[in-house]
Amino acid sequence: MISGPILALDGVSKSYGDVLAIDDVSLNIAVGEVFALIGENGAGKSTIVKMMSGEIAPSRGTIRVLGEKVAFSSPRDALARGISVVHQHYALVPDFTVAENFALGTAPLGRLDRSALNRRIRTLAASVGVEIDPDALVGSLDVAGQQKIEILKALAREPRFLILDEPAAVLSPEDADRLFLAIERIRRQGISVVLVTHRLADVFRICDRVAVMRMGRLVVEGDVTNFAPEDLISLMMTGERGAALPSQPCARAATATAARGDTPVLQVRDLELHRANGSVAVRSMSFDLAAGEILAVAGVEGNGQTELVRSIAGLERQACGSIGFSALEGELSSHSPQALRQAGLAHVPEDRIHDGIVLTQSLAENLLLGHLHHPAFVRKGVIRRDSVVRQTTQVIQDYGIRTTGPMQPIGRLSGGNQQKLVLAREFMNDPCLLLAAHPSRGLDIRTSALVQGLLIEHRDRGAAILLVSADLDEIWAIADRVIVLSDTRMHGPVPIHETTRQEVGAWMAGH
Amino acid sequence: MDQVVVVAAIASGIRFAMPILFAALGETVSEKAGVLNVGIEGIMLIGAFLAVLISVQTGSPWVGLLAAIAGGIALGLLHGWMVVVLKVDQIVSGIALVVLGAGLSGFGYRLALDGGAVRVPGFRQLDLGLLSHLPVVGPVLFSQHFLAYVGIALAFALGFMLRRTGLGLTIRAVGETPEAAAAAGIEIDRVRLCCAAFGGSLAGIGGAFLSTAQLAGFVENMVSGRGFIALACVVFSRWRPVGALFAALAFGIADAAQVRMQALYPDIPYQAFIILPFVIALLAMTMPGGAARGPAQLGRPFRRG
Ligand SMILES: Nc1ncnc2c1ncn2[C@@H]1O[C@H](COP(=O)(O)OP(=O)(O)OP(=O)(O)O)[C@@H](O)[C@H]1O
Ligand SMILES: [Mg+2]
Repeated sequence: MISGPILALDGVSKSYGDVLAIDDVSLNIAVGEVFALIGENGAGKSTIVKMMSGEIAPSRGTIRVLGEKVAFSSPRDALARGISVVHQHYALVPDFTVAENFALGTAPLGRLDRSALNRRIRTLAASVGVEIDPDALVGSLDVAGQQKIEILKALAREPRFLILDEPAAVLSPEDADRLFLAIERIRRQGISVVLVTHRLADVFRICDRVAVMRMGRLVVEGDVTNFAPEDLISLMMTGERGAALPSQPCARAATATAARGDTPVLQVRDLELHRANGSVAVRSMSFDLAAGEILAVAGVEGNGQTELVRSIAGLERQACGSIGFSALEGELSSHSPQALRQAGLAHVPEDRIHDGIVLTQSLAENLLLGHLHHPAFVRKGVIRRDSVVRQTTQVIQDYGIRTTGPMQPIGRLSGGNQQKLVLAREFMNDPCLLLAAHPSRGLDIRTSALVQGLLIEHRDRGAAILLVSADLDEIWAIADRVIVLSDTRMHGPVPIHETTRQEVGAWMAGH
Repeated sequence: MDQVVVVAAIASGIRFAMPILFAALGETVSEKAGVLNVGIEGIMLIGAFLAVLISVQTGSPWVGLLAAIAGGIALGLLHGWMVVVLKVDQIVSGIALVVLGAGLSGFGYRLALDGGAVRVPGFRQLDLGLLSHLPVVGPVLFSQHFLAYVGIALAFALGFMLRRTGLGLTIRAVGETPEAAAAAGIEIDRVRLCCAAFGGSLAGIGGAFLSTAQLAGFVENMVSGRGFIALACVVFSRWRPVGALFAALAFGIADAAQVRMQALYPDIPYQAFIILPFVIALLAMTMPGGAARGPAQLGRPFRRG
């Protein structure tokens, strides 16, 4: 029997040029424990994960697996020692089917036995309690679907040590429950789990120990039972226990109907939406969205939320029905996405890596995307570098983005910090219609509160906001009305104060 | 044209297609893994030269073929080392390879063979007995060079490999989403180097076929654009080996036909016929679907972290 830690970091540091991403961190993870790694955006959680999984090498310090010093030169070495990772940004091949993604790296080089592979995937999925189609193209799945594949793929390797980097952020409450049950089960088999998360509820629910990171350093490490939620929040934000915390946004106090106009900004009638694979996502939905209100779209992901947002953003065309946007004549789909943006539509996409940013370009260039028609940034077709850089610097300050400066390629930022820039860009120039798909996904508590505050601010200014969220807490905190999509149907819209979480939960479950 | 001429044109068209086919098959595998090699023309020249040189010296065309393969692997690895390890731009390295191949083969030819004509020991014709005496199908299907059958079989085998095996899956993932493949435990650079070497070896065989099976002897720059036609075949076939087979056959038959048409229509300048296969290549590329998307990371180096 093994007594020592299964994995130990000993004085590990990682620097990127001048940036010290990880500063002298030591951690021990015992056999069969669930270990929470928490911290604000850019604290260094993913960097720790990448060092544990062999993706990057520490600049200093050593990593031990079962007491033995290791120097992983690639993920292959870590996998060989039974270390399996679910990445924050999925490592999936979009052009491959689910089954092919499973086979990658594990199947022998010879002929693929597809039927055996499919059977194995179905069994595994059934054991966790989810349903997946092994022949579906991964690129056609929404982010929640891809997240499930990524998790199952890691489980399929039968790891001794499983690392999950923000796995539950995009999952529906039911799927998150299933994930936690699966974690419980493998923990009983003596498998260790590291869980990176921004949701403190998860920490208290399934974790044994917790480590708090802040600005690349380990602030504290200990048994979960030794901490109260407020302690952890305070430790993440300030590095100390018992500091005064900024207050949460208080939506209900704001005058919800102050700027609310009579003419709807968005008019959706008899909309029928199809998924990429041709199946019907929503059979018929109609609603109005007025200026000065936040309409939330709740529901288990994959029930048409993705298609709804993309149709309104002009990125795909609805199967039937009509969408009207008060700022433009006629049917919305007759206008290009560019025309829509110029008319005041803004879109925070659910898949930020693919639809939100260009990883290799700088923060400034990414901020410019979609604002190329704006005279403040582009004059006579020439980019006004100074003003773009100035604006980006301002945004970095306002949102507290952790970066070396406006010219750093955005791909180098932590996931949450990338999201902040997307939000800043979309909030810029005061849009009259804002589509926000999971805007606070992957954000730390402080920034989530900031974003929710901004949404309220823009609503009170008179913007119409369509908020897609899987988080009922968020919906109850800021939305005015809610609709639920489930099983090709739309429930609602109902004003938040005329419904209950129980009712919305029942709709989500399809009752 | 009567039947005899047509049959002869098709039969020799298949022969003309083989150098292109081998090169295109190798390039398909290499590009699937993300390594673009525009220098296969140069590798084919080296292959053609080595095959002639070594088979003359040893008296065996088979040893010559092996030498061409070895030369192809060496140049494929050189390209791989440049673009995969040193991360040199793939187009630049490929063009350097064209120049290098042309220079080395021409220089070696003058040095080793005095630039003169040599008698190249031929491959023994494959004897398929009665089959080869059948009308039409006899000369077209059953009188080909042994390597031609290898090439055709290889097209189907590689098609199967890429689509249906774990190896193919690995290669495709490396060309599509190397980050994901690396996370799955695949060594990206190693796979790319191997595929570049494989591509080089097949380009070497293509060159050897040209100088020892299709023709008998080496002439400077004798590949004359076939390497580039092979690149076009890869794109036109949408990176599918069996598609590359048909594309290569189309070019080969067009090439064989133009040679015969030169004789049939002496009034028309012969250059008009020579460009025929290239015109077909250009037209084919403009056809719908011809511009389909290749491997997403084609031509891009993989950097960790
Ligand atoms: N390739 C890189 N080059 C330069 N800096 C980097 C690079 N990768 C990460 N960093 C920096 O390291 C720091 C830690 O990033 P990391 O991704 O580990 O944060 P995180 O804790 O996972 O945050 P999040 O909650 O937003 O995912 C960030 O400030 C980031 O900018
Ligand atoms: Mg992270």
